[in-house]
Amino acid sequence: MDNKNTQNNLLILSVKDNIGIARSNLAQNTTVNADDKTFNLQQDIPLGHKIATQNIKQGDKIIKCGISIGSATQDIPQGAQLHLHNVKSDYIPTYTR
Amino acid sequence: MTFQGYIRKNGRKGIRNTIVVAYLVECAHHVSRAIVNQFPDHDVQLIGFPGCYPNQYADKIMNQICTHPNVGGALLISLGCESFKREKLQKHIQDSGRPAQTLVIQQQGGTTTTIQQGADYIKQTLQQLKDTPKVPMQVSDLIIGTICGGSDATSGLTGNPAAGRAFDKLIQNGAACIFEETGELIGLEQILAQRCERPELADEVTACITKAAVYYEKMGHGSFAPGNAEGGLTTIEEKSLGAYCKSGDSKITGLIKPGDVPPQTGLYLLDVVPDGEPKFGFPNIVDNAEIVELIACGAHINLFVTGRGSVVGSAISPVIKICANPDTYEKLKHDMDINAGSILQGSQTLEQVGQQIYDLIIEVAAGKQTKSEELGHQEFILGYKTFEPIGPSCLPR
Repeated sequence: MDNKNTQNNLLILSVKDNIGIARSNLAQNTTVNADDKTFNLQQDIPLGHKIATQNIKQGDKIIKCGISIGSATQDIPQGAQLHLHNVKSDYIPTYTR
Repeated sequence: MTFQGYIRKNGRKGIRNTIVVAYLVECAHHVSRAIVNQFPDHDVQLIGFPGCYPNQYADKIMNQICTHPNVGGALLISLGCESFKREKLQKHIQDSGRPAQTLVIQQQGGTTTTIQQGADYIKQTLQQLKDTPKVPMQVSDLIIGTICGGSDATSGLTGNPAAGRAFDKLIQNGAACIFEETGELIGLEQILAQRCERPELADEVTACITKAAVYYEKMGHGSFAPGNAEGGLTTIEEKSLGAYCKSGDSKITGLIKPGDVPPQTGLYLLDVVPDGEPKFGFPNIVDNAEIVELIACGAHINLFVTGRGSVVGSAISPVIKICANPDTYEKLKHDMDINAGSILQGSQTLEQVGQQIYDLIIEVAAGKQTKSEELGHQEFILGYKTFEPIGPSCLPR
């Protein structure tokens, strides 16, 4: 765990990551820090969900813990949530109810 | 550190002395349950296999489960016309030094007489098991499994890495540890291969994860439930990343299949995905199917990490439930043994929770009841599968 972020509401698991994780349920417009950048959340982010810590282009790999967890299906701006609507698996599609 | 365990004829030691009542086909399920229900205050548990058609895998699992170190004796209930090899199973149990009997409903005169005779046999066996010899046991006598279920994005941040820390400590003290869910290691093939003790094993592990990816793709569905997405997990790779952390940092000693018992200390990967073309559907339809496989590999206790909040336990081997999500823990604390969500809140470190899990394993091995045991959870499910035996490079020489 990245020590400099323990005071923060965002958890950055690796310096290689382009995402951060909400440490608790965070409201829209909450100010968060990632490395030296400060930005506001574009929507409510539930505990454990992912936020782009930089602008991500369509087709870019989403990196968590230094490992690819899938690809962006559209351009994703810094501060936006990443989930089923803008990220897909590079292996097996995700099923939802 | 030592605690008391039950010594079996083959030298293995158990932490419980359960009598199992096993139905050998669904048609014998009710009779078996009615027998078990007469002993609510004793360690008498219901297990079984529902199918009428033969299956080598189910046969192996039942033989392993009925002679698990935590089992003291068995009563087998057959309808009579199913294909399960009941004589072979009974002989296998008796040869292991345990009392065993088979009642065939069609020969005993039906439901009522079979229930009566079964209950009489259990009463007599309970008396007999009072004399089971006890011996000191230590951590190096234990086999511990791990599984995660009802995962969310916190599972991979708190509960799974904490279970991994406990695994590292167990292995340092000579235990054998098993992790599994190869369908939830998809995307991590290369990392797993690097952790293998031998290059030949790395090839086997890589092939095993590739097999899982192909199998699930043919099923049209990854090992991923809608609740995983609601909890913040987006792809199977992301779920894998979290599930992977349960394995800790030890080198991987071997690759085993359901029913194979780790031959020595170390970390083992359990390949749960069937071999060959998909035949009987999803590899494991639900978490307890995997828990049964871990138990068939000799697991005395299983660590179950959950974020969304699973409440299950298991027959035969106690389940320690580790809750990864602090909000879920508040809602379901009476079902949870460990609150790993405290790591997110900053009140405990990963190291501290890992130690807490390790200490609880020893207490449970010494007889302390887990939450799911106290609540009477004894889930058991076994279905059809096909496996080839493991290759020669899967185990240490």
